[in-house]
Amino acid sequence: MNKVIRDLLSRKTFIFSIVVILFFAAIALLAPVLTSYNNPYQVSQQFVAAPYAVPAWATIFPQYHDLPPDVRLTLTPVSASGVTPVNSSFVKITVPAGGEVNVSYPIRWNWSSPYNVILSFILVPPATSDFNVNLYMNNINIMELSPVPIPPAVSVTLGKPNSITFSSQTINPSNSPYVNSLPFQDQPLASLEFPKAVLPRPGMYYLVISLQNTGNSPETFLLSNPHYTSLGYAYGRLGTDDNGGSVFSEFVYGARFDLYLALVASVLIIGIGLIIGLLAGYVGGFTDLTLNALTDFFLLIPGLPLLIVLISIFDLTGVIVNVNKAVLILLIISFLSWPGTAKIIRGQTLSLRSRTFVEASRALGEGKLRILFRHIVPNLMGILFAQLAYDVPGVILAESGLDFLGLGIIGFPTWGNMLGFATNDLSFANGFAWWWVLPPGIGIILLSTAFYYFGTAMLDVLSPYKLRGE
Amino acid sequence: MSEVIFEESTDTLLEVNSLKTYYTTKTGYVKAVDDVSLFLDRSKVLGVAGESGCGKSTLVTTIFRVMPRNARVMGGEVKFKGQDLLKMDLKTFRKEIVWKDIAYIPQASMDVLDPVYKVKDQMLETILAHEDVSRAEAMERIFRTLESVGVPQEKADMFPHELSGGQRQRVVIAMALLLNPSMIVSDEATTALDVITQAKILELMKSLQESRKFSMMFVTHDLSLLANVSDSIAIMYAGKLVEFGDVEKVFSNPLHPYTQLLIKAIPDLRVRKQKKLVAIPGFPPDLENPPKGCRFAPRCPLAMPVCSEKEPEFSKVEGFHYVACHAVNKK
Amino acid sequence: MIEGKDLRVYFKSRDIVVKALDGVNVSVKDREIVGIVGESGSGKTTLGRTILNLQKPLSGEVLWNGKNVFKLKGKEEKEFRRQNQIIYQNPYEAVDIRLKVYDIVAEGLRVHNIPKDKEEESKIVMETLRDVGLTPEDEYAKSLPNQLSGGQLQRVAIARALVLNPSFIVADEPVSMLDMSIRAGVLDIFKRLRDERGISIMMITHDISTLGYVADRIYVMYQGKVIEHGSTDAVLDKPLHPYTQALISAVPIPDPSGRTSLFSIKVKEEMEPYNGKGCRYYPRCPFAMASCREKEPNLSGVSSDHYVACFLY
Repeated sequence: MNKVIRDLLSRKTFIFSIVVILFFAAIALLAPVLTSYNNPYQVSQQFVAAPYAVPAWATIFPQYHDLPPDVRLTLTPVSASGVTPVNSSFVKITVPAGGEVNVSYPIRWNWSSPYNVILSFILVPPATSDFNVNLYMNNINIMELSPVPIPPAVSVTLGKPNSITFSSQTINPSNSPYVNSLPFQDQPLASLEFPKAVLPRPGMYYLVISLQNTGNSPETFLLSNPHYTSLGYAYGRLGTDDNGGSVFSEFVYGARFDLYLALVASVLIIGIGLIIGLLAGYVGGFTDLTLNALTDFFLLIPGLPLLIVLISIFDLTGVIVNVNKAVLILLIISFLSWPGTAKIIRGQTLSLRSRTFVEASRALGEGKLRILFRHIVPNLMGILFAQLAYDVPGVILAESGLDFLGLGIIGFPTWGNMLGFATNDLSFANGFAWWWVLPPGIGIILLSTAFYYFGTAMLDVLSPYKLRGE
Repeated sequence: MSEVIFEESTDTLLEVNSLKTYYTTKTGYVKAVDDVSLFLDRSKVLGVAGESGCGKSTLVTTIFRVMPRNARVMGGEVKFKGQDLLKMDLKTFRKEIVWKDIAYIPQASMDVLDPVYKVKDQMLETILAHEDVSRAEAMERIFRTLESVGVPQEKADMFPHELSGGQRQRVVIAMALLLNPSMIVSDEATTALDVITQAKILELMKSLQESRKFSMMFVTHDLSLLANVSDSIAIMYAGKLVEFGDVEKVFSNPLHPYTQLLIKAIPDLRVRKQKKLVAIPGFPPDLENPPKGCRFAPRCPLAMPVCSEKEPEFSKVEGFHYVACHAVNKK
Repeated sequence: MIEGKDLRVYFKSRDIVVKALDGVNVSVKDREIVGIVGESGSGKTTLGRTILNLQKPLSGEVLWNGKNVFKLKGKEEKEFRRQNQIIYQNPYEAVDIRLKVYDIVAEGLRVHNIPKDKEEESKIVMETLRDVGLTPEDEYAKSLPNQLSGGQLQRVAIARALVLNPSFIVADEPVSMLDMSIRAGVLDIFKRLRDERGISIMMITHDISTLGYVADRIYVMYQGKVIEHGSTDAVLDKPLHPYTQALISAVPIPDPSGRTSLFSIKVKEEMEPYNGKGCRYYPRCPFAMASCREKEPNLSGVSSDHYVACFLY
């Protein structure tokens, strides 16, 4: 056994395959630790950043250099007369009668425009209705708060804390003076244009909350320090997809699925393929005839079309509701993968059975079972691993193909459907979203290659025929 | 090795001079042919004998320049009609020498005859590849040659697998004769055949050789065959030539202990009651780390201390009879 | 002690029926080496396999100490397997090359549960390895088949058969793959087995000259039939059948002065195919008569230890 392992370790291809398989296995196992999003295809886990955000590390490239990350700030005011801190998060502003006090919050912006801008703060206006609050950003009037809600002003309750949220994604002519001031044809695009208007380029920007007192007596406002949030165009290890879902999470959970698939397929290939092939080849006669016919039947079923038809039928009849679709696909694909192995094992068994050393064992008085397990099966190990090498990548590719076409799994990420979705959305927006396409693509290639190399290395090492040539 | 042996040659056709062919392995060199010199005169038969792994097949592949990839000629020359074959351009060598001047009869005739071509088509190709003759002329020659080896003309239209083993070997001999070569190398040509067929084929080869006057290098593991066909005989052991001489001299007075034992190991039905079969103790050495001194020393019943120290020189005994053995040289 | 009676084994490939054995009678007595000689296709290997119940015959029976071996069941069958062994021509084919020499040899012991424990097993295996001349036996026990030469591995195959202490061994061309210089050593093992342990051996070969040194009796086979049999001296010194005569004169003699004999064999080229009813040898027989074409000759005794199937006698 030691010799086998030493022999294996002396092969570069084997080392490569083991490293790759272990790498993906580690990723798959550690998935919950590596990422907090277990299914970025769910709406609740989308928009963790802007759609098509590049990976954070990609900002080292000049063309991505200015892209903003997700930004979350609590703004603090520049001290001014009439503005007095109440505690760490509230300031009290006293506005003289007929006067106006501007509270300025500086924002140090180092990037190009973000995807959106969200501001939130708590405002406790005076109990009288003679006031007006305006929000300015980059000298643009973005929001108006007033006790009398005449659009685009937004109403506030008098004398009570009001939770105010401004989101660039929900602005329209009736809630933002900015949109209102735009020419009519530009108004529908206001939410897209807004970040470019208020944070056009790196620099120092101010959020100004302007408090106006139109009454006759000084009034007091309480204002919490506003929270600033914006989604950026640079996110995480592998950026985001078209829905702002984390590609890294998708990749990690995709690896989990593909490895799972490879494992189940391997078990089925070894289990069904080996047993049927052995029985057919070793027992022979009627058993051989029957099993061979069965194998041929499965072998000749055109895999992908059958899958497509089956899935469609299950979808239409509602069977899928009761059975997990992913499990079903996994089982069907794995189940179609063993006949090749069975055929080859049968042929090999037939040839081994007629070899002289098997007859010699018979002449020694060994029973059929003993010959089978002591001489035939060990001599088949090499070929069996070679079958894994050819079949497992086949299974991975078939499943990925199905997902790619959108006929397979769409409920959670797999490498196949990642590629599929990426291709669907390739035509617009960001052009080639390499961070989205490459990881699953490379993943499929690496894993398939690794299995192939693993199998061929095992074939070489375990194959007894090689021993003679040494 | 000394060049003294070439003095014995009267009409040299082939001269192998201090040839060394090694196989490279992960750990070093396998010295398959190590400093071997021999010669073959015109219209004579040279027998090369030795056991598996003694280097006789490597010698043949070196002469034909078809060694496996990991084999390398480390020195020496193979002179054919005064020309060093190893230094020739490979293309010219293949076109002008192989088949035309030196033909080859291998052991496994099925390997030479392509199973998907008819006998006559393969023979035709051999002629047309080397000579500029018309098809009709070539066919004429094919039929003549087949007849001379005792294969009926109609067999020319058959596929190799339709022929019996003996007939296949005859066809291969006919192919070797097609271009009228001046030398034929036969590498275990009769080994896979039944004894009766073997005798028939040997008889054929010998009579062809005598009537057509070509030279023949007859390589085999079976010493008794050589007694029947060859004029001179070269015994190889573990990559070395150990004895070389006139066939009568070697058989009537074998000098090297290896040759002596080898002859004693051959069953001889005439004297089976008097003669006991002898086995040489031990097994041939690993050619990657051959024993120091004489390579046969570890198995030799006459081994002296000097045998495992110094390699014996090849020296003349008496007439055309050379041997590399300390025990003989001392006498 | 073992006897084949009227054995017939036919192989069918497509439409052609090959009669590998066609009514063959053989017997091997205690302490006897019986040689079976014939060219390829004579059915000699099939005979060895049939005798050991590795090939079921179409008809006929093999009697082992009076019992029909094709009808043995359970314990008796196991005992038959233990007592009767086979050695093949190509040792590289005949052993499972994944296994170490020790395991190859111990295989039979394990199958028959002979040794009580590991120690006894090891003792028997090592002893047997020494017996067949593989010393130092510890070294050999550890090696893999691919590290051994043909001669060494053939000795391993012999050890595998010997370890069960058999009473009868079929040796199918045991030396034809081996170099001349070590053949005698292997043949000596067989002689010793007969003389010291009283083992009977059926030695199958295409080379009649080796039989001259080891066999007590010889059967000559031609195309599925025994055409001559008798004591070694009788067959070799006074060969009767033209085929046996040709077989003997075709053996090359290691002496340049004996050249003429090799090239004086009297065999015809097979000009016409066998007609299906006459003597199988008549197409090649230089002495063929008209009757040879019409009827097959039966084995008949010319003396008490010499039988031949030929109309000349």
